[in-house]
Amino acid sequence: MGKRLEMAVAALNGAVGDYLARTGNGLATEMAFVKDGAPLAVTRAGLAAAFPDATSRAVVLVPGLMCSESIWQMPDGDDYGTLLARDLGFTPLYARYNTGLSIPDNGARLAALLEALVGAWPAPLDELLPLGFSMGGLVVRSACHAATLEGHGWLKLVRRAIYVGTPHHGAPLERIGRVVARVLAAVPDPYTRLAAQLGDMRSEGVKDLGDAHPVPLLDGIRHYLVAGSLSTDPRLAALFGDAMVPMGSGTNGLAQARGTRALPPGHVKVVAGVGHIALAHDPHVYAQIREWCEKEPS
Amino acid sequence: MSDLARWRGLAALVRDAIEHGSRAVERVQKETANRPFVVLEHIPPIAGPARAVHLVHDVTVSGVHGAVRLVNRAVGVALDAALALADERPR
Repeated sequence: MGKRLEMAVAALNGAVGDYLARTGNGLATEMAFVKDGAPLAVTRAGLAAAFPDATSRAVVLVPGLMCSESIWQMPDGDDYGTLLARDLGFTPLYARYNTGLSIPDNGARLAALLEALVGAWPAPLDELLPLGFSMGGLVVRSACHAATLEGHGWLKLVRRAIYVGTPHHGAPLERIGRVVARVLAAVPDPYTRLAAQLGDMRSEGVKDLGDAHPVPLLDGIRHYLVAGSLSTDPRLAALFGDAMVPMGSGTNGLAQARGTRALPPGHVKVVAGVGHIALAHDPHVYAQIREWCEKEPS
Repeated sequence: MSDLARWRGLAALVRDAIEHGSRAVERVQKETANRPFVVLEHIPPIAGPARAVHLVHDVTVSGVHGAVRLVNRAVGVALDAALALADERPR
């Protein structure tokens, strides 16, 4: 019941979370790390109690729009965090946040939370690995940007960042939604205008997904991207990608060689036959994440 | 966030949805009815009665939706009070 409730609250936050936050509604989710379904106190005592075996490497898993931390869970109960803990000694931290807020807002909140985390971590910390799924990847990008502006210390611990199914160049579904809302609003009929108003109630977070991310990938960090593709046909894959994020957006332009900044090919993995949501808990995706994490960044 | 805060949030969200939904539906009903009334109000023999019926229609629609919003707010206040009581009850 608890897991289902959190999923429902996460979906509600994604849809109208900005409204919930603006009106002080108790259903608005606060940015936090969660363990066993409950938010963690980011204090030395709180973290020491939650992670008695805290290691020097921490992976921060940031879920996507309308997702709770359960999006990471594979059928056998494992997830990228527990597998990285088992295989490479990372301590997994699961972020939960109001995905209806604007992406820069969530980025700033995540940056502040990471700064508090690093200050209170109960062991010497050598590496912080942000791993974002879908919108979570854009929140990670925003957090890195915010940390640069604020001079946060945690950014020095980030050697690499991993983005899974992240719409770096925006998601076409949101752009289609904008056009439909505009067309409906232009029709001089009260019912279509009402439909346009209902459509326009979607959250700031959803609206942000229509545009390319406004800040570039940060220098000094190795960025690794995983994009999904439902089709093995290159043209269909480029057009539809993982059904939510087209290939060009998921690979930050590398697949179509028209990106603002193409990454080295080894930093981008296209996983064929995997849809958007499945990217968050796919064994092939994990195998690639593990391979990237095994490499020592120069 | 506590369970009680979430219950309060859910109550507030339902209250807001009914409030805003009622206003939107009221506006649509009035705008939809306005079209035939405007035509009828341009026909000289029935213009006067049409205006009167239009007025009665709009007042009725406003009254019905106003009553819905009033009951909604009253239920909201009662729910807030019940949740406050539950919050004060020793656990």
